[in-house]
Amino acid sequence: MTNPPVLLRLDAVEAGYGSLRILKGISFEVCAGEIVTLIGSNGAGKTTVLNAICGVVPPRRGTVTMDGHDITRLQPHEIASRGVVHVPEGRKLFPDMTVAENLEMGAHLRRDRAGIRADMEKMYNLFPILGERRHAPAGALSGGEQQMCAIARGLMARPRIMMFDEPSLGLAPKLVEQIFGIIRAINDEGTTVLLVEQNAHMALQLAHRGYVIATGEITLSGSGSELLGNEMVKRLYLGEA
Amino acid sequence: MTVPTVSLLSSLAAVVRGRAFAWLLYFAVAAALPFLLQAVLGESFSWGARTLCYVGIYAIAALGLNIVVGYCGLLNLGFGGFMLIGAYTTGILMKEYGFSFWAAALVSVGHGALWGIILGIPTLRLTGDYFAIVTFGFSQLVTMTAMNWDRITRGTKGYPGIPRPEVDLTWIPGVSFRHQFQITSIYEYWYLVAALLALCLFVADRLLRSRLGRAWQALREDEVAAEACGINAMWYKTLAFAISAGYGALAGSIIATYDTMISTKVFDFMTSVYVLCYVVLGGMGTVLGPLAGTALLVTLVEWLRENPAAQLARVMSWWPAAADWLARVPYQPDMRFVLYGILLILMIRFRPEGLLPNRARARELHEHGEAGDPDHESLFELRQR
Repeated sequence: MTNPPVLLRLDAVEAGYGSLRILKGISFEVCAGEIVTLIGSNGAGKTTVLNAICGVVPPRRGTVTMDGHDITRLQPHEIASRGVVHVPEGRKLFPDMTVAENLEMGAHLRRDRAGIRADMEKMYNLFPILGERRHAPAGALSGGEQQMCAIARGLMARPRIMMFDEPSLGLAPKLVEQIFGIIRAINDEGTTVLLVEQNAHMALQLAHRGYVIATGEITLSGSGSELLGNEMVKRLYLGEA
Repeated sequence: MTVPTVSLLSSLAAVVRGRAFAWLLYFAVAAALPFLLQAVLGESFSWGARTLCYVGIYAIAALGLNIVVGYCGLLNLGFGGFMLIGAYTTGILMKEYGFSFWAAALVSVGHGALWGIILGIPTLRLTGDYFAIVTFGFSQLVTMTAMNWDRITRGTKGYPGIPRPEVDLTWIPGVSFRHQFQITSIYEYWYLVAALLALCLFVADRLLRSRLGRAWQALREDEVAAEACGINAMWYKTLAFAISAGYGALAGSIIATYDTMISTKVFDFMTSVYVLCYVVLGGMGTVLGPLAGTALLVTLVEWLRENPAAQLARVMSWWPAAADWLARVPYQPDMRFVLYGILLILMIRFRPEGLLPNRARARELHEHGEAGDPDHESLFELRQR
């Protein structure tokens, strides 16, 4: 079996805020078509990894390459235009725009009006609740609906890799299952996924491969099932004795 | 009602709500206003017409400032600087170099926009208060330059002798009357201002509903999310700043020919504050809001030059005791700014979204931290389950 090409690669990336050094040399890769998950406890640097990739927190050292091109020093909007789409923690919708307007914002870089319209219909089929509430301001949606809206907005950009930051945060178990099902469906359609999660159990079940991050460093890697069976992972992140 | 009547009424309502009707209304009102004023005001007509022209000119400025403050959500405290640049550019080009008003105004808009870009590129990375302070510094710098660059601006002596605009219709085939004339009467001036204001309203309205306007709204609501959608924040903000400065310069260039002289005092820091008041009080982020705010506040300030109590006394002649008492209320023209301040405080307290608010802006001011906020909501939802 030939390996699929590497889509996103981080090489010894260091990043932080002010004098705070959060990432201490992170290296990992995501291959095209994969679901890769980063798990770790609070404050391990999971969110900073995503922010470093999408340019919100520019890395101080190391390189981020997308499809072989160095994107380390690019502006956030330039990185977005290369197909790297971030669904941030806490959803970050435009609260006073309607659901439909939020989806249109997701397609900001696209010029194919017919394609955008077709994709919006597709989103309303994928998330029927968004279709029902398409004229409601996004700020008036419930937490789960907002998460769906954020995912749909990300998909509207037709991303090559989609990065999710804690999509299960603050959602009821039933909704979490639904969101994870959607992530799998997105992946089945060919979009590469990088998933950051605290809910390690569900993330590892879904992902092809996973990395464990602790205090700014990758401490462990392996396939989803390998990590699920690992004694340390079990003890630290799955809460099993 | 029968079905055809209902559909007729609803289509009529659609027409009334539509933009074509709004424009028709605008031109009808603009054409009739001077005559209405003459009929209503009688002797003090020239006062009314002057006020009307100022409303039109400052409405252009307010529409421009609104692009930065209302559309993008950035506080600009130095807008008067762009108006001053426009005024001097037009004055100097018309007087020294014989430019027509139209050419001079066009160059002024470009010049203002250029300074908008020059100021914008280094400062738009700053956030919130810091940005506002730098814009304030900019306007002070511009005023100081104008006051001290005697050779070009005549400094504090003011810049007099700016010609009136000329209208040349000879290039239109079939026009048989008054091919070329200079705008001098207050009627003609109002029609000039109303036409330019119409152009500015049209552009502001189109911008608001364009891809660009949507990007500005996204930046205002959440800059990080906007950039994640591929919006180049610096580029869009600089563009807003340039367009806004161009509006300011146009307003300044009309003022220059209207007053036929420029005094740096007309464009001091308070001008920036007044224009900001027109925008905030009228309603940020809408097209009609700044227009309404300007009309109300400019008229109020002009009206309050004369003792309002004494004016009231005149119409209260049927109650001599009250009229007599009112006529003796002491007043100084500068006291109008106290009344002005009270009005602003009342507005901010009871209607912070302005007279004609933007749907989204009103929600931003009233609902945040309540039902609309996801962080507050998700906890509550969890408890519900």
